[in-house]
Amino acid sequence: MSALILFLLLQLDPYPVTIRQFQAFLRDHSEWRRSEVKRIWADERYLLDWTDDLTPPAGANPAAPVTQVSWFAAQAYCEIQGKTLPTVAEWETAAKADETRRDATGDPAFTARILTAYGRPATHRNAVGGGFRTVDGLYDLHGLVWEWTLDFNSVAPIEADGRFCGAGAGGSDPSDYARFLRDALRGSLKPNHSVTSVGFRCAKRPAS
Amino acid sequence: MKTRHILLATLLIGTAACTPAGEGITTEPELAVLTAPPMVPPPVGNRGPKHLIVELEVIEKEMEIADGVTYQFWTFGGTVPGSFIRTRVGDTIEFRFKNAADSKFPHNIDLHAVTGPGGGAEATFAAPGQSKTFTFKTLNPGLYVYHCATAPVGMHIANGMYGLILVEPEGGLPPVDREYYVMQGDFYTEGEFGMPGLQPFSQAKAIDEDADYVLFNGRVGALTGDNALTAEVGETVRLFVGNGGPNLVSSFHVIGEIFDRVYTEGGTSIHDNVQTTLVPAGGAAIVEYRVDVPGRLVLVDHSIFRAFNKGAIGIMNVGGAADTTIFSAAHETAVQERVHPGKTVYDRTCLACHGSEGEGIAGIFPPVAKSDYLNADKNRAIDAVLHGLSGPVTVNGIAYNNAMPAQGLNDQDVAAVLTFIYSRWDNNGTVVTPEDVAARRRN
Repeated sequence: MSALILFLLLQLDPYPVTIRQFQAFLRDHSEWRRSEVKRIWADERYLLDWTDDLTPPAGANPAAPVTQVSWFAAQAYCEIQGKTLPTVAEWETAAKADETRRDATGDPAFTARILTAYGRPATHRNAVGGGFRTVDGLYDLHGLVWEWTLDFNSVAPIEADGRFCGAGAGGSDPSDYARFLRDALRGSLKPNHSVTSVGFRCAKRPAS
Repeated sequence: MKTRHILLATLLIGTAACTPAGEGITTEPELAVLTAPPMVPPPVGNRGPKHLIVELEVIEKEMEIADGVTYQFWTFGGTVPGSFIRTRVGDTIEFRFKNAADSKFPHNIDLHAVTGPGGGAEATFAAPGQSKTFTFKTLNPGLYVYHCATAPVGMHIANGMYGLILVEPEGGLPPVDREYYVMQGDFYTEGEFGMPGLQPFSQAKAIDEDADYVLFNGRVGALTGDNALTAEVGETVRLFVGNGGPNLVSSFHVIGEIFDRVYTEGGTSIHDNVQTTLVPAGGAAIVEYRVDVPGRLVLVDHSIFRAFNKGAIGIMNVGGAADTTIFSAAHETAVQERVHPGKTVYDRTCLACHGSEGEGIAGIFPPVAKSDYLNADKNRAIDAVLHGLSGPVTVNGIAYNNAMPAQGLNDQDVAAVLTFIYSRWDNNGTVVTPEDVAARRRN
């Protein structure tokens, strides 16, 4: 099957996982609470801003995306719901869309719009659903939080090839700065990192 | 100056004889003093090599790029350019790099003073909230640029991620009276120069190398008005000049001075008696000059539209006694001095409405050329610039009813721009002094 058909069969959650949803998950799964999680699964910044194991940061909007979660925690959350993190390829396919076009990346205005959204500080405090809705019915792919992907570490880190020296990444468009920024972020992460600007959404694959 | 060199050399020989270990590092690790521009840390002097700890944090923050205009800067240490780092050749630098927890983006640092892969870029590549440490030895004396080297590199540099690290030679640079840190950068915003509000980065303009702002120390006015550099007659000034780019090469020049010495490209060879020195993007120069007469020196990128239209201008006010054997001006000097900066203020602040020849737009924006309204009353003109002017007025027989906003200029700039206007376009030559403006401001 073509990549597009596979993508169309994939059910990507419309929104990133919220603080409220993750709080419910922590109630049922004590092993992922801040005081109990093993350091190899989540570094010392895991849910660092939370008041305690089950209480979100003071003043946080429960409908804001959960952040400061490691890749392990994100994938555990998705698996418990019979889902998974999307792959980089799946996520990037979804992220090419705007309100009317499945692939808007050829339009410089689309890239400029994303870069402007990325440039706004502290967006992780905003509620999900505030971003534009893509043709596939997905919200907040750009400008709310970065999102974990299943194989984020398949993106070459800085030392592995020349892409981080500013040249075009092999084969991809050298003018797609939005993609560069996402790949640089992915390349900087380790799976136990818990970052204030990184959240996640889950995906359901059709049973094969 | 020559005498001092010889004395210094003698001292050095003496020191070397007392410490036969030579380049060995004997001291405990010491935290390096870093400074925000335009200041620099104290000279290394005669000290030996050290184990220095440098702590530098990347901070993403919204700051003013011009009055009323903000930009989301990415910074080394909270300023653009980043903190100045001062070392000595042979130092071992333990570089503790931190990316602030509330950063959105990963960052790293490539220091051109480093001998080793990527200048530290790979070793310091850090996600938001992460810290990385690496160690290097300063092998070559000189003035070096550091910058972020995370993809897309151009965008990280365009957002302000650069600074200078100085590696002084054994015995230090010769002592001078004043040292300052000046670094140029070009900026690319969605809105044109001066358009108010938060201005996002424009990738398209950056790729086209079509800069909206060309700045010294990251802001229009970073080195003018109350922020001007200072010196006194008889002093020797050393400027550590860098250029972060990302695109433009600087033709660095100081109007009213000749550089006695330039450490070309920040290296060891010295050029004497230089008017303008080229500072490449990702490069630096050390310039030195003795100030002999008082007055206002003007730092510019002599690619001159950048100075007058994009912000690449700085001021050094030199105080002290005049020496008419070196420089003597006619008595109109007071007026002339205000005319020149006044044009800058006019072009930046007034020209858009009142026109390049003061002609205005009939019925909408009144003329300031041959203006009966201005020539009749100096104080009324000052008030209009200070407080704005709304409602019906008649200028040269034509009625206007519009609103001009208050301009938010300091006394010197108001005096300069009005004196400039009065000196041009058949106006009556009224001189407006900063004292006149201060008096009206108190009313």
